[in-house]
Amino acid sequence: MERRAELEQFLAGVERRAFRMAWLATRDRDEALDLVQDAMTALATRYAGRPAAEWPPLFHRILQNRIRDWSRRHALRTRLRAWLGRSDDDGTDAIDGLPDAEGASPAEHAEREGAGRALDAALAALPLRQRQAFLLRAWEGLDVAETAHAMRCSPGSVKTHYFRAIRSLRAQLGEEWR
Amino acid sequence: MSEDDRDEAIAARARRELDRQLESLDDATRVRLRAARLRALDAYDARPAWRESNQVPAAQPVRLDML
Repeated sequence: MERRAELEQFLAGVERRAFRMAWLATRDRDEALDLVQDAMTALATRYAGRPAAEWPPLFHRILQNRIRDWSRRHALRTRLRAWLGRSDDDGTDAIDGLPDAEGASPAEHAEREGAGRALDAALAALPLRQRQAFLLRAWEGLDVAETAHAMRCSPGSVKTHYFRAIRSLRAQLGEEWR
Repeated sequence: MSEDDRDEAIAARARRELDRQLESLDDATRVRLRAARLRALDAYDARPAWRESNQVPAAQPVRLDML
């Protein structure tokens, strides 16, 4: 029972960031929720017996695999639709129109909104692997070895992806965020 | 400010912005995330007992009449 409670606490702590990572890749709330659900279930059924300290890199490895698989399928569908001359992308943005929890003034709100959109656009423009490395290292707080495990690549590749991501974000956000 | 300091500054600002966006996640998404978590815990409760011990169950001998 104690392990179950520990697992619930871990999942509750990681679920919103996991959703945001999945959303940044898919730009679709339902797809992102499905990916998070799959990753949570896989961790709970296959790896809950592992020490809790191993859960963060394991969970993110599962989630990043799901995101990568989704991205490949999506790229294939997009190419097929382009080939067939169809598009069903309505540009829906799940983060649009969300209430500001802190009750900011309109000017602050606009500034924050601008910063958020600029960051979204900059992150969306990154190649998938760079975005993964940046989010896992800078936001999720995984170290290089844990990030390498989650991304199934070498620590050297993580450093390269992260460095390129940072430099790209600096180039894109430098003016906006000065 | 060194290049490393500039890198860290942009990472720190992005981290703050991402955290702020999490706070403004809509209620419907929060509810669905909670539901996803509960389904994962249901799956945890229903998992085969052998997974708890991390021991793979021994293979059963195959009888010729089962082939």
